[in-house]
Amino acid sequence: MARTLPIHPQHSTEARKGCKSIMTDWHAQVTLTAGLSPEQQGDLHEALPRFAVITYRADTQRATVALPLTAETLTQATRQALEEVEAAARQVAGQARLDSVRVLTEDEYREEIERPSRMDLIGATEGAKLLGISRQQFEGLAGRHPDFPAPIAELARGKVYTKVSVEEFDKRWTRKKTGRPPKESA
Amino acid sequence: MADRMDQLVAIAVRQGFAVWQTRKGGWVFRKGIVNVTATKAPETASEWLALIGALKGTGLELPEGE
Repeated sequence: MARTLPIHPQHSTEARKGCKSIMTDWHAQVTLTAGLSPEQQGDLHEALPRFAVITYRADTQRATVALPLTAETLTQATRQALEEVEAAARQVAGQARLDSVRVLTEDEYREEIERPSRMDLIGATEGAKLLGISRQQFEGLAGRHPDFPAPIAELARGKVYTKVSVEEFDKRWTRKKTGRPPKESA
Repeated sequence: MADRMDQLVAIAVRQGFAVWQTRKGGWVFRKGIVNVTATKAPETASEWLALIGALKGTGLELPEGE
């Protein structure tokens, strides 16, 4: 009988030797379409055999069921998630259409949610405030300094930068003191 | 863990979520047309990851280090 090897590379050697089963933590997300009242969303939790987080959008009537689970292979984890969600949805809603399934190792999922979820964009006014200088100084710096980040777009109202690129520049940038030098003490 | 849940609830409420616990011990985070529900307060790291991931997906921003 053919044996399904785990896809996770760090586990493949031992599994190939057939020494023992190696369990991996997975994060599964199953999306389904079903009109669910708040009570039915609670019922869906009760019908599931494990801890779950359900995200339900009333406008699209779509629910995403997130399940942390442990299984030996990606295939097993996927099958387990689909079976559990399908059975629970059938019990609660009578019928439900499963739309998609997504399964990641827990480590991959952790990396994904720790990434910034959106790109903060700023212009010269916000950039100047971030660096603690005037807007004119910011624009001068952007035009002159060889290490200044490139804008990601140039609109009629000015250049647009990612906030993180200006923050990183601020860490590297050595400010030159300007203005009148301090008086020598006598 | 209860402290951690308290912190998460406080952050969510500050960001406009309505949050409550159900009679059966589940948690509901509602914002606009989106409901995020958890079977219970998370206990394991995997459960916390699932709840935080779902909330971040609906726009919750966690302070750095959370």
